[in-house]
Amino acid sequence: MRKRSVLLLTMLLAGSFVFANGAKESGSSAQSGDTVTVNAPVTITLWHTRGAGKNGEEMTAVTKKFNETNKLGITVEESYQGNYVATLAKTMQAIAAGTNPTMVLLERAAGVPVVNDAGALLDMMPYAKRDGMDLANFPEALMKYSLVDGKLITLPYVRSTPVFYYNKGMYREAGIVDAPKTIDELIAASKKITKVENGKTVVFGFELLNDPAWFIQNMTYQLGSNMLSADGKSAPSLEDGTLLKVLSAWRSWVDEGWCAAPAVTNASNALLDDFYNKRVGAFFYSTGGMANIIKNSAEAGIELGVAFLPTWDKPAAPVGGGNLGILSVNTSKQEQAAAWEFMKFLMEDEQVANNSAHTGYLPSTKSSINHPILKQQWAEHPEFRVAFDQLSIAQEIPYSIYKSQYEEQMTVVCSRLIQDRSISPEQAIEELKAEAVQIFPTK
Amino acid sequence: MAEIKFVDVGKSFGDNKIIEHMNLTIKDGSFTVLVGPSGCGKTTLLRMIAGIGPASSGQILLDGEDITDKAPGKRGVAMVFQNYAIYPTMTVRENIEFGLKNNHVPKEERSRLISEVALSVGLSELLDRKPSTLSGGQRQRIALARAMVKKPKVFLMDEPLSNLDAKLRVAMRTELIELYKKLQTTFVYVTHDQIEAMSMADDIVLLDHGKIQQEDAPEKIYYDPDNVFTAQFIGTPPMNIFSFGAHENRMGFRSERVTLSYQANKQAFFERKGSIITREMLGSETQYQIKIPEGSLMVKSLNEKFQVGETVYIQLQEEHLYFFDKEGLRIRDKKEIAECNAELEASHEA
Amino acid sequence: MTHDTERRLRRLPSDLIKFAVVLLFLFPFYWMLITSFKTYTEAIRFPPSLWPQHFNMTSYVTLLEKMNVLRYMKNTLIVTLSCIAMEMVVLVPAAYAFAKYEFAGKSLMFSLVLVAFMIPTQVTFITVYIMMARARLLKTLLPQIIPFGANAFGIFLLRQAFMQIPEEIVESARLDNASESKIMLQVMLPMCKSTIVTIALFSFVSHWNNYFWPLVMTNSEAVQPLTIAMDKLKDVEVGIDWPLIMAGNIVLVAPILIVFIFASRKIISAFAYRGIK
Repeated sequence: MRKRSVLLLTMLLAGSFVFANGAKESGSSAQSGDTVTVNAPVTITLWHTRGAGKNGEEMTAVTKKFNETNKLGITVEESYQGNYVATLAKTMQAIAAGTNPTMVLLERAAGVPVVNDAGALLDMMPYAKRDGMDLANFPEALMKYSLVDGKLITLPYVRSTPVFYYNKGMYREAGIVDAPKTIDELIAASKKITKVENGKTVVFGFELLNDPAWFIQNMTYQLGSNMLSADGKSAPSLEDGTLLKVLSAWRSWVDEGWCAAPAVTNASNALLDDFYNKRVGAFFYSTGGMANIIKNSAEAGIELGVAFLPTWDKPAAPVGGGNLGILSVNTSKQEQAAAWEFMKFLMEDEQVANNSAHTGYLPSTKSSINHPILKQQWAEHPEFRVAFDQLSIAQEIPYSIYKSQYEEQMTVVCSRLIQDRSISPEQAIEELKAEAVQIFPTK
Repeated sequence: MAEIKFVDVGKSFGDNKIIEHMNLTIKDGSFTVLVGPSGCGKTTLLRMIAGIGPASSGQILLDGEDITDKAPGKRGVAMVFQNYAIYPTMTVRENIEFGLKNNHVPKEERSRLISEVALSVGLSELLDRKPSTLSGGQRQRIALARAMVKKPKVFLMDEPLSNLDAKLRVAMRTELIELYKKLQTTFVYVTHDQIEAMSMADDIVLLDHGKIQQEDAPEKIYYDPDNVFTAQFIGTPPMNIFSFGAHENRMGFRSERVTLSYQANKQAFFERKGSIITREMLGSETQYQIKIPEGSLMVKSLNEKFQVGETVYIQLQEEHLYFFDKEGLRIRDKKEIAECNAELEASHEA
Repeated sequence: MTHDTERRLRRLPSDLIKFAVVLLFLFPFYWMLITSFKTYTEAIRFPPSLWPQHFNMTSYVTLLEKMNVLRYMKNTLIVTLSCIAMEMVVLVPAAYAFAKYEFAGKSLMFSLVLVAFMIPTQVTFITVYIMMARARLLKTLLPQIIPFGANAFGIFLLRQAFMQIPEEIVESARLDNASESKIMLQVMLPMCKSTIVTIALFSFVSHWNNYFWPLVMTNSEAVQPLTIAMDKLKDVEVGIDWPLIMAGNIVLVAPILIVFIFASRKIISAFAYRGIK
């Protein structure tokens, strides 16, 4: 009696593995250049990183609008998966298991190359051509991770750029009227508004967050170099001394006492808290936080100023944020077509304008800035405009599959340099060089 | 017929052989007491009847039926454990009811049986109480009631009185005997207390190291022991035993058979001169420890007047002497007894 | 002074220390609670305020209406209770077998149970994910329940408790013609109530707070539990809304606190019942 039930159990287990293999859909891996039209109601899924607050609300609202208004019976199910890192990990895992969604929002520099490298992103160019989408309508600065090898693999969606936020009131009290345009002006202004009482700094003139792929990379670009080479296979600023210059400067600012070192945990939030509590006078931060920062500054009684990032030499500003892509694996042609419809919808002026106006993200199309929603908002809050205008000097980090690894190492080294202060800038460079040898392919 | 038969039964724990080749018949309707020192195997035998400690070899028959491999719950036996083993989370009623329920006795009959048995053990008022709120004596009655309500063929009792205080023990002893008389069922009772065994049993089975030393009615065991072990185990104080003579035989006599006197008595069959070492006045009798040339002995006397240190004579009649050979077995052959007597007299003269 | 007063005064230092320790543990919860009622500006104000200026309910409203927190709570509740139920069904007979029976390979099996307990979920999650994907269960709550059918900790604890029950009670029940399952459920289990409550409590807390496993196993919001929902409240680029996060955490933690308060009464009463020897 017992032997029989054991046998039955084993068979069941074995059977479940064999049987359950039929999870993959037919017609997968459709990377061909054909387009189809949606001819029957279809449901597609979107995985994204837009969490609570205005960000998530916007995503839910626009998805609902599409579901209610599209005439093709397409239903989009959007679900929050976590931050960019978590979403990327889940997406890759899902691709392997055959359970990935139709569309996914990826961090453009760290996420898109990885998924594209796996051959999982659909080339939307045939669809773009069929429906006459004007790709020139997208600012060039935002298209670096969208057009790769002649393929249209993603479209910019929640894009941001860091700007210079500062406490106008504090600046005025110190006799400074205009926002600093160069690094030297930044140093001078920050020193002026820094206050020290009883040997303790109560007001820091400036704080720089540890985001090397943004701020540091931009600074090396302003100095004529770059974090990554054009082919993405090496790290020029590491070799030519520009990174050393930037890191040494940052370290000296902190050592001199007017530049606050970022907090060890929750640095961004600690920074914002400090700003609202008037303990920090100015900082670089994403435009994505603009709406909240305006609101909270007003509540805290701070006169907020927003300007371009100060520059070392050649004005430049980095871009960031996420792009939307359609997955070509484990999705049927109908689903891909439906996803394209949603993609088109999202890129319409009204949707782009709403997206930007409600959150502070950059409007990802040029035509959308003429939409009344944005026109009105920019009239009321010119700060929002600054980010878009800065796009004229925007630069995008070169496409590289080594970016996320290298960035991770840079973050660690900077943390030791600025927060721990346990190594010197020269030592930081040496350590990073040792890591780079492991990460990048040998020449 | 609820006769229990052990046929060539053996029990080992690993390499340790507790019982070997045990053959024993417990008569139907008898109150049989299994008695012996710790580790003699009496509880092991009891558990074999119950089915909770199965035999390693041999057969056990109940009512002529081989129950060696039968499940305990299906044997028709009931057991009262030393620590009562009542179910602590159930009420008294539920405790008693448990076995009936498992045997699918219908509800009405169950209630009837429970009230009956509760009445006979005096638990009627306490049926809805939890055991933790009751005294030791009351808990023991629950164990008893639980056994009785099943109307078993055999009652097994594993030292049920040893956890009670002295007074309660005596009272319960009487109650148990009355119960036995009323039910007329086979009782198998295990105890290490020979007084309990003597007072309650129809048949005593005296065990030592897994072997039956003697199996008889109490009087016979007391007055006609088969061996030294039996002679010394039964009776308080134990029988006085001395070696004597060339063949290393032994002689024994009960402490209450000794006459104590300040004077020698030529009529006495066996007499020795000794001195009183200790004196215990127990109320109805006095126990003396007396030293004679062969060693010390205990004497129970109704005469409390002797004092420690006094010189006295101990005297015994011929019929009160027991003889055992050097292996400890009782010498019953008349001729041999005569020889022993002769040897003794010779030593007396000397 | 009277003896009583003297005694009380002597106890004062240790009472003060106890009070201080209690305060230390309670303060974070207090802070969480009052922050959830503050506005963002008040929450980050320095020096901090120990009592909200106005009682602001927006965080809770946001949770209920915009975040649909009740749905997540329902998921967490179903998952947690199902896990506990499943574990009980498995661990009671397992503990019984390990405690009261002898069988070939028993110590090997028990060692396996302990070893399985020590394998971290990070090792097994990929395989399990693929299994769940192939069995098409990812859209259900099952991937959060099925893998937790066995609770080695519970088996271990309950085995210990069972082993402490005198063998005679089991023998007595056998003589009462009780089947093994009856003995297990009607005789032994009621005697181990406090152990069961303890096991259930630990299980409750660990499943309620489980974050990593649901993160991996769930892709759609319909089946995500509260812990994942809390994650949503953090949107780093836009900035952390402290009152909202605190409100979310209150929602996450409150049921556990309630269960503990009720369970502690049960545990005390279970301990107060002292089984008879």
